[in-house]
Amino acid sequence: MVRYVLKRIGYMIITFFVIVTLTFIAMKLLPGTPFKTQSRLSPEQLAQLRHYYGLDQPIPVQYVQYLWHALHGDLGGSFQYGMRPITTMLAEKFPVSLDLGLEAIILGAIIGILLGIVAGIKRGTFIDYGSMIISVLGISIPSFIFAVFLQYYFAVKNQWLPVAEWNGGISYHILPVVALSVAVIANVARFMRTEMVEVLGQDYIITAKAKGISSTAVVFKHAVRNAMIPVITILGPLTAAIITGSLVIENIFAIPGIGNQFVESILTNDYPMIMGTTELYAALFIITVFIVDILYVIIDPRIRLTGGDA
Amino acid sequence: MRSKAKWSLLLSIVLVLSLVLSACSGSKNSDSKKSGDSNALAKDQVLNAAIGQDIPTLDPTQQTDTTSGNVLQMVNAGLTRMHNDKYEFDMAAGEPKANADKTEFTFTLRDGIKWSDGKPVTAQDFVYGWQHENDPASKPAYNFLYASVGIKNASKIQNPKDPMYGKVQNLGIKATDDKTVVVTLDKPAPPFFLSILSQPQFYPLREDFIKAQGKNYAQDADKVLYNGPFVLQSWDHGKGWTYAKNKNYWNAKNIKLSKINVKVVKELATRVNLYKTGKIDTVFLSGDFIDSMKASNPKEFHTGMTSGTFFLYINQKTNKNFKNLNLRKAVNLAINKKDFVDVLMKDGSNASNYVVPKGFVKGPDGQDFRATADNDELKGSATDAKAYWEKAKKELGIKTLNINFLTPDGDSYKKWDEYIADQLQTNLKGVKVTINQQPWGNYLKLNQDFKFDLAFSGWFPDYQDPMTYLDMWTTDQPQNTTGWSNKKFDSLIKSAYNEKDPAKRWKYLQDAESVMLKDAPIVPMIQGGEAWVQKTYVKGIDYPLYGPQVDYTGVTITKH
Repeated sequence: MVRYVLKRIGYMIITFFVIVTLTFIAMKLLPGTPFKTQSRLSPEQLAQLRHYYGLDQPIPVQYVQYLWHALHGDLGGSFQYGMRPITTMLAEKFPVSLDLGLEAIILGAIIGILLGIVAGIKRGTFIDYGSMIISVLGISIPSFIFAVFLQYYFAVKNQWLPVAEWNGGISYHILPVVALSVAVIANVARFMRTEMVEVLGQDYIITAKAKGISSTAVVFKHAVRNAMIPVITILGPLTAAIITGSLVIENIFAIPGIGNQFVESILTNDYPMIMGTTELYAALFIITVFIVDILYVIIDPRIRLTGGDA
Repeated sequence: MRSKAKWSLLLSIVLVLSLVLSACSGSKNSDSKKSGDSNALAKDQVLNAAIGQDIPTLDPTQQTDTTSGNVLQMVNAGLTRMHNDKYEFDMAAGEPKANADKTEFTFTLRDGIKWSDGKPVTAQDFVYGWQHENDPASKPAYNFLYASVGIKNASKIQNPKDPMYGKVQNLGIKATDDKTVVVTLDKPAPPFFLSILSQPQFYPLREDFIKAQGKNYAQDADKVLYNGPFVLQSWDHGKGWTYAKNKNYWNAKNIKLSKINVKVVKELATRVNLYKTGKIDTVFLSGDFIDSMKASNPKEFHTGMTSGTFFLYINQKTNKNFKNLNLRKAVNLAINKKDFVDVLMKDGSNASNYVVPKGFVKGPDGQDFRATADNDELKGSATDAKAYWEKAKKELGIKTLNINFLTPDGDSYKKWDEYIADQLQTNLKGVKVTINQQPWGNYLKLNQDFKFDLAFSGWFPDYQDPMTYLDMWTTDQPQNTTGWSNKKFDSLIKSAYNEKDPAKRWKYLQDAESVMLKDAPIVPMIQGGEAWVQKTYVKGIDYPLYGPQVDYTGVTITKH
């Protein structure tokens, strides 16, 4: 296990490095400059600015310099925002996205799992069809449609909840978290239902029932635990996707998260910000996948991470 | 346990159903309480607003965008300030004393002017501020304004190839004592000399403060000093900022607002929803919101003009067909600009056949540039367009023409592009337009490399003078990506540059525009407008054509 973990960490570092390198190269192929007034500057003035910021150096030189500074914790400053340090900006904005994403994942997973369990147990009934309809709707309708809907109904029409902003109070969290969790509910519920149906048909469930164990105990001790394994598989990438992909929800509810920064930085050639957000996202994704792999072992003792020598 | 699961399921179904049903009902939320007609001031003079973008920078040396520019003009002050479309003296006590040549101006500062930390604003602060703005070490982003107005030695100090490069002590500004600023120019001061001094690039700066802050300077609300009508009380990056009235400001008694809260909200629909629920008092509109808000809140709906002009570049450098004047005229007249404005824009934009916008600047005769300029050079109908097209086809020996139409990308551009393409194809038989939408960076590159036939573009003024719209069209200017060159135009612009007599200079500029329009090197499209809603209790909010984008200094809130 320890050997496996160390090996995995090695791969993670290599993967991260490859992502950083490819992003750097791709980014430098973008046309344009990070200077907003480039269309008004003379070629000499532009050359001067490029020189100030080291953008006139050959790309490999810039790359090595970037890595060197990055290793010392300096990710540079944002061209869009008055050279404000990237590390400061990420530290301000990422926790907001993380907060929003985790709340949505937790809410979504709980509701999704419950929906899936009920649908699985009550297979073929009205409840089953009802929850699967919700699930299909949740998958096929983009979250921003829900977001606009929720905002209109709860905040504009009835004014029960605030329209937007992220001011600490729980009332500000409800709409964006619900909107973002819809996709999670839908995905998790579908998976959970399929697994429940399969697990409930297994021999060991029949055995357990035959032994006289109450049906609640059968469902929660035996069926749910086994059905959870595939759900955890999708929860990993889903968490990463929700945290990194909440851009639209952040925009609609005026949440000062990182999603918007990422898109904006690409459109404005804000090189240090492109790198900073990419690194953060890559790290997040790699670590999530790693955690999921470790979780397998804890939940399902049948899974062994290393081959024969375990 | 199971009953709980059922309960949550039921809840979810009810939730989804109620959403679906409410969508069908289509009931409208009636807006806010009606405000009384009384003009009595409300107890709380607080304005709430929202904007799509955070402040990019509070450092005047780095400012290049309208959002930062607006904030800086609210919290800081130069020798002059733009207010109600005129310049007023701000830090300067009044008209400067000028020498006979109009190359040296002596400003006396007002008594009792203070920074937000209580120290006096001195003439030396102006000298440092201007030198800092021209010092290559401070990586200035917009200091070519100094060269535009002709501040002595600015263009040499800014030019890396000049021996005077970076030697800021040679800049044409001196402090003869704490209260006296002497500004010298390379040539007689142009008419926009006093209005440009209102811009953030010409603000005083405090050397001791900037040096003490080092890298942190201007990074937060408490890392800047203020000397304007307001101070930034807080700046919560990404969420918004709050202005508070600056009690130290010399004219504080005429500033009525005690506070302005500005929220950063990227999504226009959300800003409109905040407005509808009374969380903000004013919001800019675009697209479909213009019609819907005009219909639902007619008394709160306003439109105005901006100084932004939009036009199409015609590439006659690498596309030889466009060297033909009749073809350029055909393209100009084939597009119905009035419909473009009335149907697509609906925000107060003006169909334009001109280069210098309306209502932007008055001449020595006190009249608007457009009031006395040639406005008819590019007038005509689709029928005229067809006639020019027939002539052009004969002269060029062509039957059809493919046009590569380059534009920046974005939802609004899509509609505009399709309209323009459709007009050209409908009115000029045999023309085929291919729309080429590109991200901004790539758009600029293709434009500068002349890889287009027509290109959608816009221009905003750098200073309050027709020159800011005209000198870019002289031969081989980097912004003149048409390949058009006209000796008469070039010489008129040159004469205007060197002319001391304002009336003669004005005439040169009007003649230059007329020469240019006769040649139709571009397709002027529109002078941009802006549409917004504001609650009826908000008075005196101003959106000037030059100066701050939104001027809060005259705003009051009446009882409501």
